[in-house]
Amino acid sequence: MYHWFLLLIFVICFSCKRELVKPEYFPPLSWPEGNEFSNEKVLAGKRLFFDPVLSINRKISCGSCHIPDLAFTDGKAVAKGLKSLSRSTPSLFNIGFHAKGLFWDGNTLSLEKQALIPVSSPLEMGLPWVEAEKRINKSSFYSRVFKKIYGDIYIDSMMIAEVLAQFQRTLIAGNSKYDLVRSGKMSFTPNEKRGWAIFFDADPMLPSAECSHCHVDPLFTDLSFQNNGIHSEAEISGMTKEKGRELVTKNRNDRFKFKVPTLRNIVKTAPYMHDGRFKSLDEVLNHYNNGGNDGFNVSPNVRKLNLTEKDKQDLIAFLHTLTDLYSWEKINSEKTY
Amino acid sequence: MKNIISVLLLIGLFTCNNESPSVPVVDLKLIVRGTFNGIPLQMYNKEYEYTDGVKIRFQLFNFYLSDLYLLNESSSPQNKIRLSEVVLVDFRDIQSLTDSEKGVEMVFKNIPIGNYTGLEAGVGVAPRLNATGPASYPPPHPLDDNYWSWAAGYVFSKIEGNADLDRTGKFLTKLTFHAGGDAFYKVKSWRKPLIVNKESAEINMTIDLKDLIWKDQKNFLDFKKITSDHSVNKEVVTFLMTNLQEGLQLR
Repeated sequence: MYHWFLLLIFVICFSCKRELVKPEYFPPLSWPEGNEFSNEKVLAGKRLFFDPVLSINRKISCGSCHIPDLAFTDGKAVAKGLKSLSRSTPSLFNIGFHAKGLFWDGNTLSLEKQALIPVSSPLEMGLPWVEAEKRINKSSFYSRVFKKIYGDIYIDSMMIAEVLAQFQRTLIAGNSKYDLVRSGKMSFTPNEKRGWAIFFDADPMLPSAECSHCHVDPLFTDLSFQNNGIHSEAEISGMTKEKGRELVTKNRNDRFKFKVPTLRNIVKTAPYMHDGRFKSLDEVLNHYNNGGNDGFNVSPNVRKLNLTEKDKQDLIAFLHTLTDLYSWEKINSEKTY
Repeated sequence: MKNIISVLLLIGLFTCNNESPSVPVVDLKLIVRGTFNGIPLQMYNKEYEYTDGVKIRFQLFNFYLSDLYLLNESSSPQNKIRLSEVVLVDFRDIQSLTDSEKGVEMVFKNIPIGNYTGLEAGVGVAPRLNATGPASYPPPHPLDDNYWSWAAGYVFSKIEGNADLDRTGKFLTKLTFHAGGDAFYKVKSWRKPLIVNKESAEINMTIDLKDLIWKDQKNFLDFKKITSDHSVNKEVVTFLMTNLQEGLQLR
């Protein structure tokens, strides 16, 4: 009986699906039905992500705008593929947890659907999907890779999108100094600790920066869409195309709302905001400290703060603790095609 | 090997939940409608008269209910019918008169039909759930949001909006009141005959938001003095949570 029990345990252990490593306090990572975690898909997605084969001029890959050393952003105010876009490149770290919408306005709900957009967009990679499929099917390398995953069938856009989505889900950043402090392996400096308390409004004796209403731990975003008061009245009167979340919902109350970005790796992702208007964290904090511009749907959590220079510098010291490029080094060092 | 498979199948069969198929069930709706001083509650689009000439507009109002049960004659714990472990009553998307008339709707599946005597729910997040966190809940789930990691607990209720203190029409004063904490959780029961059958599978509740922030001329949130609290000021959070518990009505 004891042997049977051991055998049963053995079978259960080896039939378990390999899961990605993430801190236990991160939300569950859900894999869509039909595109469950597969190491082969992740590796294929990783290769394709950095391969310019999916752009019309064979010069632009996903990784051209999502640069790992910049936390998968590009350092530009607005993204530039074949042409300039109107919004900045969002970080891809922890993007697999973004269950309430992707892009700045949440216009796409799944990474699989998202991956279809930049390839054929004339502003980004400009390659019609029919042509993209032909290129991948013609490639003996990709034919071999996809055959291992899907069998000997025609490689279509959905398969390509699936492997790209799988790779992006592995981009988990949860090994920053903040995480190490949280798990008791490190300690904050006095400035970082003071910045933490100001960030989380955690000490009644210190000022409240109101950050954590939207930049909620552990992702440092609540994935909501907010108007944070960056647009002045004069600016709004001159804006015709950009309407933020309203473009998706058609609801005027969502005008100029944008997805709350993660603050993980924030020191690596300048410039800031959906249009890259702030070059530094100092500028960002000055905006919030002044309470932002008024507007009927500006978040009430954006309010005049009266933070001192020291408060701001301590907040920035805390934000530095959210940097984690080590996780990417680890992902990148794993087996690759 | 064949024997082992048979044994496993037998174990599987005998551990299955053996529910009686004879009890007819329905999908039961809980609808919560909001008002402010009796006027239908709408986010963003409606201005409400408060006190001392102050006008207010809202952007967000929500609250949690935990351990919802239908009560029946015997009312013993075994005989209560569980509707849900936790729901978030969220008025975020109630932005028009039509939305307000429809209310916030939640549906509970497979509820046995019958004559019930009332409803029981904890107002807030039950302590055992409040000790968990969003990491335990794959979205979408009521508990995947509204969490204070620094305080290790959920925000039981949020009120956010703007006030026009001097009637300039500009609503420049920002209001954010977030209440939570185990000490403010309270289980409440509402006694009222509730007939649940295929023709009547709906429970209606109401909440008047003014009741949360204004009790009488001496007891109210004075936005000229206080515009924000995140459960730091115990007096404020006690006022809000007590009023929420008392203000929620079964219709």
